[in-house]
Amino acid sequence: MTEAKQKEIKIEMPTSVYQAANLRDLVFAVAQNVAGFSARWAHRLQAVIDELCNNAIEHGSAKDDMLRIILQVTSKERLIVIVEDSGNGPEKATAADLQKHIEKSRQEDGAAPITTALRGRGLARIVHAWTDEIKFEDIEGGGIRAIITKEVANAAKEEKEAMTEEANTDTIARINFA
Amino acid sequence: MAEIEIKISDLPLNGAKDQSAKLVVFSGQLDESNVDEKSKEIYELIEKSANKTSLVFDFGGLEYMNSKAIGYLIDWHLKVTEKGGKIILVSCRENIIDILNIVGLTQIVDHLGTVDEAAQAIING
Repeated sequence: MTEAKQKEIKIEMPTSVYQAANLRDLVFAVAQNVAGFSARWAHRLQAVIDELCNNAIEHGSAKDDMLRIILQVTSKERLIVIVEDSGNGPEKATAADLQKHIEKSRQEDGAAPITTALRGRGLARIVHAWTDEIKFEDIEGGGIRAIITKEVANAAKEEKEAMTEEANTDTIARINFA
Repeated sequence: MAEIEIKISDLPLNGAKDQSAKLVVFSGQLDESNVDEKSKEIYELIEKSANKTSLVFDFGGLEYMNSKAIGYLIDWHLKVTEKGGKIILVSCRENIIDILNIVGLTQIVDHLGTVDEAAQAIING
């Protein structure tokens, strides 16, 4: 059986939020046209990468630094996105700190009121909900590497389950009105 | 930089007493490059509006919003509610509803299909 080949796209961009729209367009195109995700999931992954990059720019980088983003895509199988910052930002968090933050938010999910939950910028909620795995690693020499993975099969399964739930909800409404 | 345009106009509420509404139409994308600056327009609108003024946000042309924009939306909702009004979203694209759902915002802010439905909802209280 022929195994699908992994393709890699490497991007280096200035730590400027003005590049974000271009990056989002690229992520959407790669997710949908190369990896094979649905438009819904391509939009979701776009949001995940946007949040990770914003976090890297705001907290992990200084003004004239470069951000490195690597897209590793295996057609019809998975998308892995790696975001690396320089570590020169105002906040000296470690990979372990960020991993703990994500895990803590995962455990609190649903318990915290919406107003306070979103003060944390939505990174944890959006990334947690729309990825299969997120890992943070300290980069030798400084900086943090965030690695997210999403399997195409899992995305398709979750979408099917959501559609089934919506269809069942409609059926229940019709019974109530009868 | 992402492009975003916000157009504000009066929204007639036929037969409504002591209530008023504004229609706020968004076109483009709200992200880190523009949301801080653009949010000032909405804060100014809320500040200058009379009590019991509701805002209908037409998101039909809104292609993307990030978590910071959602944070602002929650704050606007709180401020408008404090003044006796409400915020109603209309015509949201699927990806916008998706992100609002995942952060739980659709539990606290109404979203309807059309501007007319929103106007009726405001009149009905």
